Amino acid sequence: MVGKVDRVSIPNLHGWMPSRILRNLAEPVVEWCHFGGRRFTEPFFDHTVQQAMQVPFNLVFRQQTPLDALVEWQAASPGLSPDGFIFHMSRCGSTLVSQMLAALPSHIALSEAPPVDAILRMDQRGASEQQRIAWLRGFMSAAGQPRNGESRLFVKLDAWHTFDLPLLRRAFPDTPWIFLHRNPVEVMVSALKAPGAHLVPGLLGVEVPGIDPAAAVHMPQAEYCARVLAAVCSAGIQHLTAHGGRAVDYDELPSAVVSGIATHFGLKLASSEIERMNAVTAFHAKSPSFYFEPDSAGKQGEASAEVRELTARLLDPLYTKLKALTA
Amino acid sequence: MESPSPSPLKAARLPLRFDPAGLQADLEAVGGGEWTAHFNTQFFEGDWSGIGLRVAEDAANPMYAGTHHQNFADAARLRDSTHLRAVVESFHCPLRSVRLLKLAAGSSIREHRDYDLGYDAGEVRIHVPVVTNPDVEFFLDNRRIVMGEGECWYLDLNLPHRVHNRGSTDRVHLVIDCQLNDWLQGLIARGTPEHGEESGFELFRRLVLRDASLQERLIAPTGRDAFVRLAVETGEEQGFRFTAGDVEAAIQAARRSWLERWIA
Repeated sequence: MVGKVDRVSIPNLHGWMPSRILRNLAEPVVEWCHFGGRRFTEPFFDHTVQQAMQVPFNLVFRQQTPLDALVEWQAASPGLSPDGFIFHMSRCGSTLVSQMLAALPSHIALSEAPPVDAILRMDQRGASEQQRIAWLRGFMSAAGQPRNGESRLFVKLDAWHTFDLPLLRRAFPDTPWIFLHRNPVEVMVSALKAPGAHLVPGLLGVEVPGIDPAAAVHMPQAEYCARVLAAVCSAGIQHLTAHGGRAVDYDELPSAVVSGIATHFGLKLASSEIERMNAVTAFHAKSPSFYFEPDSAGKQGEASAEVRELTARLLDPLYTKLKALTA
Repeated sequence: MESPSPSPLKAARLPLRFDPAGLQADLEAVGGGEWTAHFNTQFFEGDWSGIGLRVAEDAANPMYAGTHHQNFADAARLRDSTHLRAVVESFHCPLRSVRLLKLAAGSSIREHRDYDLGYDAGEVRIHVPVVTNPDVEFFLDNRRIVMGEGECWYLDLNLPHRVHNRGSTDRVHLVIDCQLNDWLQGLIARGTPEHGEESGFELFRRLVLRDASLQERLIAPTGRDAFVRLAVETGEEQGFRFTAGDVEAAIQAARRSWLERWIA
């Protein structure tokens, strides 16, 4: 498909956002939503898209193009290239990090954008790595159009994209990245309260390294959860050793965002900017209407014996390694 | 009967033709008091009414198609209508309800689907226009199907459809609910598939997607009513023919597809 790019004719997509990818159609398509100057200020990419879809125009005037339009639009109107990736083990403050980065008007922060996942999963439709890399670059460029003069693009991925880190590194070799982690008992307690899609066997169609899908279906939920988190952490450790990302612990938040993470992502922040980013921390990152309260003690207290046993066996050794890698 | 194979057909003009003059003569013999307003009052604006020619025996309202009923009987009006009866008798398949449905001048039926019908389920609704006019706009799956007087049509009414009678005369169709058998399958197979024309709004939509200045203009309204007004006004300026109802139907369909986006 990439080879045919020069024959795809695209409309003028100025002001349009690739809001989702429908990959289960006979010919997968990108759906574009008119964003104008809309910014990604909501905690997740999809929340912002849903806001945009409240405008009647966007319901009626969505448009669809082939995936290769992403590549062609990048050639016609190159946007920003990612200035930092946030990988994470989930429930460890990654949304707080992306929300703090989004607080500056000069930043675009994409948080768990479903089109990124859809492109990565296009391997299931027979797309080569080269094709997926081209589409990823096209998507980032389209999402990273400076609609209000923005100059930086940050991308928080889904937890399971840690497995796709090598491909993302090949697509964006110059982009610095962090892997965010947290005391695994706290992650387990939070994850079991409201399991993310990756913690339900088979829901995403993602292959989890080291877990047999047939066995996964019969596994108790807490064990499956612990094994997926262990796989994510193992991938994080492996790539941190090989590719020189930066490991960050939840306990370093929020101050690490304006210090260590900012430096790693090449940011030189003015004190007014730091103030603006810190203002976000007064709110719970995923539900901005609730005040943020540190909840580590509470989560530790809630852990069942089963959770403690699984964590000690499957996650604590990995957490120790991550702590050692954390500068 | 063999199990029906799925019909991908949206609409087909069947190879049966009736003399409109005879059907209209039967229609004129009908007294004004015989028409009953349609029970489905949420789905239309104006005047939509009908007469049951063959009705479910225990139905409270003769307009009710009674797709769940088993026993249907011819009404006196059918026995008195020579030409209408000849149409009905030319269907060599089990018949369920038979009705005359009238959409008065200026009236419209909002977009909806008839989930109780379906080729796969063996229930098929046939339309025979008795009297109509060129300004009747019937849209099936967003494409306009023009049905002439005395013609006989198969329509897949599981698909979203809407009607607007913009003309100055009433539109009356003879509507025959049939159970699919080999004869009817054969008749539909010999029909002429009709794909219909796109609506004026669909053509306008494509212009807007190519024109950044129209996009800027139409994105401004945040309220639905203001958006519909502006879309109709802008469409008129650009020479497209569509109404507020067409825009409403497009919004409704888009909202439905947006809400159903997680259903694979």
